[in-house]
Amino acid sequence: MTLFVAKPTGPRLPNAQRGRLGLGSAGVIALVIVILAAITAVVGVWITPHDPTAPNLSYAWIGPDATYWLGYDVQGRDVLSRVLAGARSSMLGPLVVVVVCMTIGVLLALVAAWHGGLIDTLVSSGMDILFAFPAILLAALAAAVFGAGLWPAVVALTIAYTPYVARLLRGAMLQARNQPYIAALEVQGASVPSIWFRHLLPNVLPLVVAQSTILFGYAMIDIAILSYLGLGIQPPAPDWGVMVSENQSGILQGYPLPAFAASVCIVAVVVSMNLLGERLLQASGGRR
Amino acid sequence: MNDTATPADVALQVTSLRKDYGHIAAVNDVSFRLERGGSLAIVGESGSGKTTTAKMIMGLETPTAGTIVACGRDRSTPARGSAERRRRGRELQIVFQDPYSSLDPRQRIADMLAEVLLIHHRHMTAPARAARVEELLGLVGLTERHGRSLPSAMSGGQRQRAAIARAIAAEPEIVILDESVAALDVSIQAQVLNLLADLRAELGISYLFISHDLAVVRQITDTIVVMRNGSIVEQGRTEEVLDAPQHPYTRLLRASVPRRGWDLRALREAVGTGG
Amino acid sequence: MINAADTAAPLLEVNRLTVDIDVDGEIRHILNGVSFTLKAGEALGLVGESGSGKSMTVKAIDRLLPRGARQGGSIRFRGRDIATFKGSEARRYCSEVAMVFQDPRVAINPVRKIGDFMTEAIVTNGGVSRREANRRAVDMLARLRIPDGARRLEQYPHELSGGLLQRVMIASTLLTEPKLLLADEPTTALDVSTQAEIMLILNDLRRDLGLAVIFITHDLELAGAICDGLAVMYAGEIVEQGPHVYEAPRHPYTVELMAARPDIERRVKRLPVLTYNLERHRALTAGVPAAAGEEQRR
Repeated sequence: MTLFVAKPTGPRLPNAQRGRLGLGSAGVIALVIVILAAITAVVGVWITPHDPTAPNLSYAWIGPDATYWLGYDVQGRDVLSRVLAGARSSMLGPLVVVVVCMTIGVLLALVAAWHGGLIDTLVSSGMDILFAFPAILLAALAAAVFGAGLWPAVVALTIAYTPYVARLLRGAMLQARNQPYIAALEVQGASVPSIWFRHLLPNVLPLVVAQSTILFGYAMIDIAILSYLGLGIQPPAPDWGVMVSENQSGILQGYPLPAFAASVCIVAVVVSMNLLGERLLQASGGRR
Repeated sequence: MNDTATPADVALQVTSLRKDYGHIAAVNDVSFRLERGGSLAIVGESGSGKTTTAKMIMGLETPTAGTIVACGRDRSTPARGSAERRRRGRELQIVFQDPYSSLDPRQRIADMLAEVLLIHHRHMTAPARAARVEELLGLVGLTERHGRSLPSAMSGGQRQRAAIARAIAAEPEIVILDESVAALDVSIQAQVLNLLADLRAELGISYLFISHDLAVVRQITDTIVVMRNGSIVEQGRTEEVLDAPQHPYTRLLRASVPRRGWDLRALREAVGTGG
Repeated sequence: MINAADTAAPLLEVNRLTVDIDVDGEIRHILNGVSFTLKAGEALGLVGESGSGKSMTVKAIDRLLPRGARQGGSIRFRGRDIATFKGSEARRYCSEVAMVFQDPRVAINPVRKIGDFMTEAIVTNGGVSRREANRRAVDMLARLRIPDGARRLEQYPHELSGGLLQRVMIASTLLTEPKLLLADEPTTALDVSTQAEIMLILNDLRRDLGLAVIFITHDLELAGAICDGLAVMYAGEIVEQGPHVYEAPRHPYTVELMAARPDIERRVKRLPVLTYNLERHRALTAGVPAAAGEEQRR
């Protein structure tokens, strides 16, 4: 299973080279790719040049031409249109996974780190038990119970990822919680929610954001894998994972473009997200 | 509950305080009294229980047995409800040792002080609050410019002044100074010690000073409690205890302080017998 | 061990040492012409407040300057410029100059046994057998008043108290038989009675092994009580040095610094606050040829 414990790795860039955003030129390119992908996810289905789901078997595996820029896929559908339309489900799944995981993870980490003792032990060992289930197994189970589709896959990945997130954030939260300035607020009589959300959370927020981007990349790959295995999004829905699965036979038959186009999209977004996460971690580490 | 009728001139009364961790008593039968407007030192080395004692008084740890009465009210059990927690905050405050980790790195100094004022005076108007923040900054010798700064833009001494301003913002009766000048350079330490003396004279605050530095203790406290392995070995007037220590451990501590003509040989004998 | 020639000539001569560091394109002068000498068996207390340059001075001596730092002036060890040391000479210099840090826990690998940590240098570089290395380590621990050394070698750092671990650190640095010990606030994190014990030990080692010590501290009393002489640093310069400093300081900064420290013998109404500042410092040093250091800056 994928591991996504992010640490600031690689050489630290001097401030001058990182630019105003603190991302460096590679980071800026990554940011542009992510923004483009996000825009496509929103408007992609409306700007498709052709119908992404209308098959025409007589055009199967035909290469690009002036009106069909990326050619036709295994069932003779327009590849470009499917890439554009597929952005939505390909981006939406990971987004939901990340948002839900992070919300639950942050809350669990806050509760565990704040109270410590028995509550911490309960939360931590509960997470450890969940942690023992591989994501793919959970997804297969979810598909068996609810039927295959995007949402069962999202639920399975959320359950599989949350322990990682909660564990990682608990550590950071515990460190923040033990700072004297938190004790000073307690002695003042500040309310617990105000300490949590005005002091504890903001101080681990850089880690949460960075971790989210990295988690997004992994969720995207895992959903693609699940779709490829037939446990995720079902054909003929346009989706990058589904496209790789449908068009894999083309690679051997000398028509790699349809599978390749979808793969490039996945890889570009995943690598960009990872790079962004790493740079954000570095930038936040540098400020301390 | 034998001493609930605390006289009005006692700020803090600690009676038979005990804290167990498993089978180990970190603090054992500790009793002392801090007079209103007074200054009391708890000295001891690591593992003496002085920090645990302070934490129980602050309410960050719950005592296994014994009572803590501050400003005539018991605080040996956890506070019930937010009103009581705020009231306790107006009774007792703390200044920590490390001026770096005791301030939220993301909060400007003035915002930090305003937050404290909001906790205790919810109906204070914004202009009144701003005026009080400015007054607090002035009391500790900081300017409006420092108020707009993040802790990272300030020196250690300035941060410690900000932490003192936070502690006195709610006008508490008692301030616990937990090694509050230990991390400061000598020149800054002198300024902060003078500031603490001024604040005590002006505002009538009582200090509970946790320290290992006997010279600083002499300068800033009237009475002293010497702790070792969780228990009090000696207590009394600071100058009397430091000039004529009675307990062998206090004598060892006193002899361990470097000074003119430090006799390391004699100390070796003291280490041999006292340690 | 120490012959007359050795004691007569200084072990270490620091001459007009300057260090400049480039911080985001801006050159900062960290040291502005630091000079002092140290004989074998002598203890020098390098005192000053944070940012005065005392740590940078010993870093330069230990050849641990941060990357991008530019050094001027010279540091001579037994009469030879340490900048010229290469290869085996450099390694020998490293083993003759030992460093002890403030917090022993950051300088020791927590997952390795004390014994491995202590003997690593002499086994890999000194060509000593493991058995012999262990024997020497146990001897050295005994010298630092740590009984039962063989058992200590089998323990892990977390099993030892801070004071004990600091003594282990000192013992391990002494195994390479250094001639100069650089101690950077070695007892600041420790209790006073532990501090006194370590000072005792360092004093004995100094006498028995002829070890020279540069002792960095912010604690004037401590430095004054155990060192032969003090060098007081301010703004990257030594403002005053010599055996007289602790008893009878002459420089206004030293005088003020000593007065500002609370006295355990008596309480004063108000602690005197330092009036010495950079402006006064510049005015005072204006006539002094600190520019001699400037020439050698490269």
